[in-house]
Amino acid sequence: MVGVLLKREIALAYGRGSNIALPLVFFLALVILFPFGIGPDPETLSLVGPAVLWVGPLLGTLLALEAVFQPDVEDGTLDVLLCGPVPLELVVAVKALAVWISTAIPLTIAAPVFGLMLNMDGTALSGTALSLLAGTPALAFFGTMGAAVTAPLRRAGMLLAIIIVPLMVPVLIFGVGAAAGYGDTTLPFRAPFLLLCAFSLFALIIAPLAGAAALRTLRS
Amino acid sequence: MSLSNLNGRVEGFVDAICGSAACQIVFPVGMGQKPVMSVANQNAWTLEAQGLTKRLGGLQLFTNIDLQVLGGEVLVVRGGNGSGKTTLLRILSGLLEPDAGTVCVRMGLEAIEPSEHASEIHYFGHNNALKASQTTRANLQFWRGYLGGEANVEQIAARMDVAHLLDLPIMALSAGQKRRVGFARLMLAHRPIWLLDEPTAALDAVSSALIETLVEEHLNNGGLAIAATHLPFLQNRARSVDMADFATGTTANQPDNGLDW
Repeated sequence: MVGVLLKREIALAYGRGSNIALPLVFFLALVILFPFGIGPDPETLSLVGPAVLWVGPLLGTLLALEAVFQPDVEDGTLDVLLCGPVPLELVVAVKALAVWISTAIPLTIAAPVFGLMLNMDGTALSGTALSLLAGTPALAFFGTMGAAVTAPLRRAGMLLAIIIVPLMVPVLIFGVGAAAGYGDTTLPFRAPFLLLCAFSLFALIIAPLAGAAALRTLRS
Repeated sequence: MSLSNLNGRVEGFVDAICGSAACQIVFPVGMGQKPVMSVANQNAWTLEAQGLTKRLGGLQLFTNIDLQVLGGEVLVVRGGNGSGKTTLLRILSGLLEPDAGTVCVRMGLEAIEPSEHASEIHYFGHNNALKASQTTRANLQFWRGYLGGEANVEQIAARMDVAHLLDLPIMALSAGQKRRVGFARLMLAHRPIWLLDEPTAALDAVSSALIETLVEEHLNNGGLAIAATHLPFLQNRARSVDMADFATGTTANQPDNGLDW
């Protein structure tokens, strides 16, 4: 039952475009526009590169979140999910997993490619990709939790961003920290990377519980 | 002995006991009585609500609704727009909490845990729970898999007269066709209790008759149904209640409160 739901969520995400194409185009635009704003100095670009490659997926994930529960609310699917055979926590977890697979993974794969435009070398690119892989589950799961909280509201994108962005700040800090520390002799890699993993594991547990609790309050 | 005969006997028997003393038997004294009744009742589903009261958006929708529907029975809930029909069905399905009162599902005399109600109830709401971008087939296969049904998607589609629409996306269907595809979900996985909210809305006469036939079959198989509708529905068989009987204020004909989803 869970597998069927995951499969459908991913199929719907591919059909929608706002989950895959839009975040990718948005990310690409960010990477292209950044050098115009900051100037073409290669040194500066490679310095800010990891941060740009992190902010792109972070904002890109936000774009996909509105479509996690909103369509289900509108077409009545959520009613059937709410009184269906699968525990609500698991439904939220599967939705978050689908966001991660359909949105965060393509962005993570695109990041090293886009990074070439920011004068980043192989070490910096692989460091960023590694930290994105470890940190994006936190983005997807916290994001889905926020989507559950705002599920009954129409056009909740702005509120969703306000709720979610503070939770994403530590993920960004440790993510960029780990990316910068990878293969570097002066900056630490292990500590920020492990903290990043800890955030993702924390989100993996907390977000389904909190998201399910938020959906249940709709009953009263 | 035919199934409907058996149902008739079961109803008669349960009515006889439940009419006056059901509560004492089921709740406080409970299990001690069970062996005496279990033979007659073993396969009878019961949906029972007691003292349901709900206030929504500052409006007292209804007070103290008691109802009992047994396997083989259909109850039609009538009432104007905004009289609380949808809210009542949502409470019975567990989608909404009542302000007061309880909902109880029983198999024979054995009460089913509220957390297990999901595997006994189909809720068919205003919306059809279909994804517009996906094909009819994909939608039906999803619900079959998700709800753990074993029915054949093609057969059910043929039964609902939507077999020719299987490979079309839902967005290409008319309102009545979507309603029929939505109703197919109820037949994909077996649930003894059907809660139907305006099941025949948007349907032509032929499709309405089809839905009525399917509900009747469901009843003959020991299932029970509650339908909220302002249209005629299974008139030869249905009991009906009017929400106006439970209204405490002037709630009838209030505009919809927008919380219907």
